[in-house]
Amino acid sequence: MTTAWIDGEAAEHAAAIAAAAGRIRASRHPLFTGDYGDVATTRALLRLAAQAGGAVDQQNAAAALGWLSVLRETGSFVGAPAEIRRRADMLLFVGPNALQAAPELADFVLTEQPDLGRGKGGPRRVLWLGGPAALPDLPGGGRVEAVACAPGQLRAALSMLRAGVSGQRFGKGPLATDVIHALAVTLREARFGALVFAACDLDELDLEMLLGLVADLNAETRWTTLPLSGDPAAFGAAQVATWTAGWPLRLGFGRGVPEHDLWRFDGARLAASGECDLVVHLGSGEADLPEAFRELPLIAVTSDATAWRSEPAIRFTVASTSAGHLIRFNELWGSFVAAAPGTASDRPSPAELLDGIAEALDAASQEEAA
Amino acid sequence: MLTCLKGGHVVDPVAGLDGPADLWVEDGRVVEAPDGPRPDRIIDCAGLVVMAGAIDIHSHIASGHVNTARLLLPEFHKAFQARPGATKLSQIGWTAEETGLRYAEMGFTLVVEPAMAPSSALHSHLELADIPIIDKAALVVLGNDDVLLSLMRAGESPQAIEDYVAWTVGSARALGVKTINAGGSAAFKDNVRAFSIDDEVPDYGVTSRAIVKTLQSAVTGLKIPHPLHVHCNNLGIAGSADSAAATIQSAEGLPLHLAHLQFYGYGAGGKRGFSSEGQRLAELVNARPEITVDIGQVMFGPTVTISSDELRQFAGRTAGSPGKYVIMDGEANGGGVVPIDYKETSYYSALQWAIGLELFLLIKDPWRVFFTTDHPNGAPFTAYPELFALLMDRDVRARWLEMLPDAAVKATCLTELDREYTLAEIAIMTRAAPARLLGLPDRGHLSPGAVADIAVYRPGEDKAQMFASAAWLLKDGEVVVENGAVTRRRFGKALALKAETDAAMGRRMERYMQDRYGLPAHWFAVPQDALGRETPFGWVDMR
Repeated sequence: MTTAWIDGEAAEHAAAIAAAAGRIRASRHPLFTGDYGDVATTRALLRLAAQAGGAVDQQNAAAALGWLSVLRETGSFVGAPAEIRRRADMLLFVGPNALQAAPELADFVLTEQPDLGRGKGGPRRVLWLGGPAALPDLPGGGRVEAVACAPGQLRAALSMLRAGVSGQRFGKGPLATDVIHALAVTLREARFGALVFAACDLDELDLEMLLGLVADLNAETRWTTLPLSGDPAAFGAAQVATWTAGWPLRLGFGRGVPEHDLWRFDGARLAASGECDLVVHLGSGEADLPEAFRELPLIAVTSDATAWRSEPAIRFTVASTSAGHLIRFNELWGSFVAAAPGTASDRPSPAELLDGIAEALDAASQEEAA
Repeated sequence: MLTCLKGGHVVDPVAGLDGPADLWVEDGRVVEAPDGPRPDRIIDCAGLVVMAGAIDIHSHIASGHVNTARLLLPEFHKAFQARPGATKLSQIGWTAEETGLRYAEMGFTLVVEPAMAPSSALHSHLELADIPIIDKAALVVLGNDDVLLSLMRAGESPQAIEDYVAWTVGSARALGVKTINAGGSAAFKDNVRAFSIDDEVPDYGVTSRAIVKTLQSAVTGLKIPHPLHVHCNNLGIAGSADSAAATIQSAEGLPLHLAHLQFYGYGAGGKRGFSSEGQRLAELVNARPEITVDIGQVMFGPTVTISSDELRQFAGRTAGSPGKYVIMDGEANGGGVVPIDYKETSYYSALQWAIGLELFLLIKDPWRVFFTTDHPNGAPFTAYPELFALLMDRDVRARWLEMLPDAAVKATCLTELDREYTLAEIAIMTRAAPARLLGLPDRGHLSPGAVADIAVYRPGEDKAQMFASAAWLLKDGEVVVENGAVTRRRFGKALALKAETDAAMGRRMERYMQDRYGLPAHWFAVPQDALGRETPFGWVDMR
């Protein structure tokens, strides 16, 4: 079974590993990126990137990183989905895509009525500030109370609401004064409320205002937040990077120590600017490869063995299933979860492949040093 | 390989050794001096102090909350990287990698993460697995979880509760059980803002005291070696000594461990409404042999508080420095991350520092008091060498006291305390006693059969320097540190109890999880093959 190709030609696996290590070694600034997020692959990718002095990004990192940026600027209340499902007697969705970002998570939270705490046994109120024009039916058949607000006006509406909740004066804005006063009273009456939003869909100032509202509400009652990142894999990779390097993605190891910079190590920017001269990309196949990387020398690590129309410099196919437990971040659980073992594969796992390249890179370095 | 550590001053209180001796090591264990064979390696320990590897029973090194602290405070890590030698937070052991290296360099071989949430036990173990060199372990947190509180509300049998505790310990691969402000986090989610030992958790109708007693009974009944590890109510507030005193009195002859007692050493006296209750708590501990405590010493400088006491973290959020925080409404405990700066110019910080030392020096039995800074809550763990110097040398204490506000110095009895810890007492507190407390008979001493975790120090007047930098460290008989620098990077194990779990409880938990969440109970589990290490666990017997 062929698992490696060099310039489109089938190659011995070991030869392709050596070639990949050689390419990385010769590279001025390699970029390691793609659609990954399980713990083993992320660990291996970080190890290899650190060894190679490269940059590390993740295909959907932006979905997680905007939220993390705000979190570290302002702090936050954050709720576990499981607790919100059982305890929240009021949900306030914010923004037009609050349900779309993670429909499974929204279903999980909305399906059952609260059965813990002061709101136990009662109905759950669901309000939606700045929702879509046609509000969807909720799982479990609940009714949504719409508070209309244009997407561009969300921040102003939230700031009015903060003033209303805190009993401060506020001027004219996207919502009428009596709407703000009524809504402020409603929110303060929640026993345990949760503000649900697509973190990947709101800008950072919107998010700051929204977190400020929750902090204000907690002066009197209990509110928390449920940020939907839109990509648990990216969030999981960011978590692994944080305990490994001290920071979430995006990372660079070019100066011998991990550095974190969302702009500097943005893979698309590195490719467009010519700062990186080699891409190591993990994905399912050719269709997964972003346009930004198509003009650069490429080492592709894919789960699909289908030939590419435009073959990369080196291509590996790796296992798409695991005989062991694969660990991924799970948004319903709010932490890492071990997936049940699947079928064994003749192909190496992504982590085994990346470790193999790292070993070859290490051997080459030692040979040169000797 | 046969190794001889030759001619060192061996301090092993378990064996009654405090003088020159040779130590022999083979296949990862301390062995009797052999009759015939010559050692493959001799490590010259002449003039050096030889002890078992140090054990830290309470240090927040690996959890979702710890990672949230890293996410919240990127500036700390950046400052450290720019000036690693000069930045206070360079001491914090910030990544999993640095945690292992820094502990090893100080002669530590086992560290316990004291707050592993059952639902994120896998996360904790993933981080633990990435900490090199040392062995690790974790205590699983119960006491704010719906299952336990519901079992208690329903008046279920002690056996059912033991089965649940055993199931949790087994799933989470824990070395013991901790409760954190028992019932307080659950109450806070119902908007309760103050919660004491006899307050009831709304809806469940059980008190904090009942939760502690229930868990204490279960831990004792299951023969878990480490006593229930208790983080009391009302941490950090003036008057918190009453909570600790009530908890100590609730032990009723059964073993109970109180965590970071310093944070409860506060009265409400004086014109600032904040006074020392160190003497009172020390007397209580001295009088109750079933009680063990660790201190949670405050040292000066910026750090971050990481706690699963959501209620108290919420209350302390406004004092954060820098002014940002994360409060997590988890199922069960949740928690909070609040950065803090203990300033030596502050009356409050200075008195906290003094109260910790009062407790260390007034609690008489070194087998029952444990050094900790509650890393990173009181200070980073790398402050331990300075702490040992403070305990071993009253002149060092006097120099520190000179720098503190007069009002704080007047409010403490520290100036009257002449006690200086001996090396043997340090060895008890940092080696022998932790091993005994955790139920690890082959650690904490250097008798034949012991795990060959051996720390060798270069003695000197400067005790902080001595303990900051081990001359040698052997982990499982292998040299991993020389002259304070790691020479071999390897991975230790996570120690976990051999917990026998009841199949019926497993089925009951599966039903509970499906009924309440529509999720599988096996998501609590930590599979061995998930951690990316050949031998991730070392198994520890129940008593």
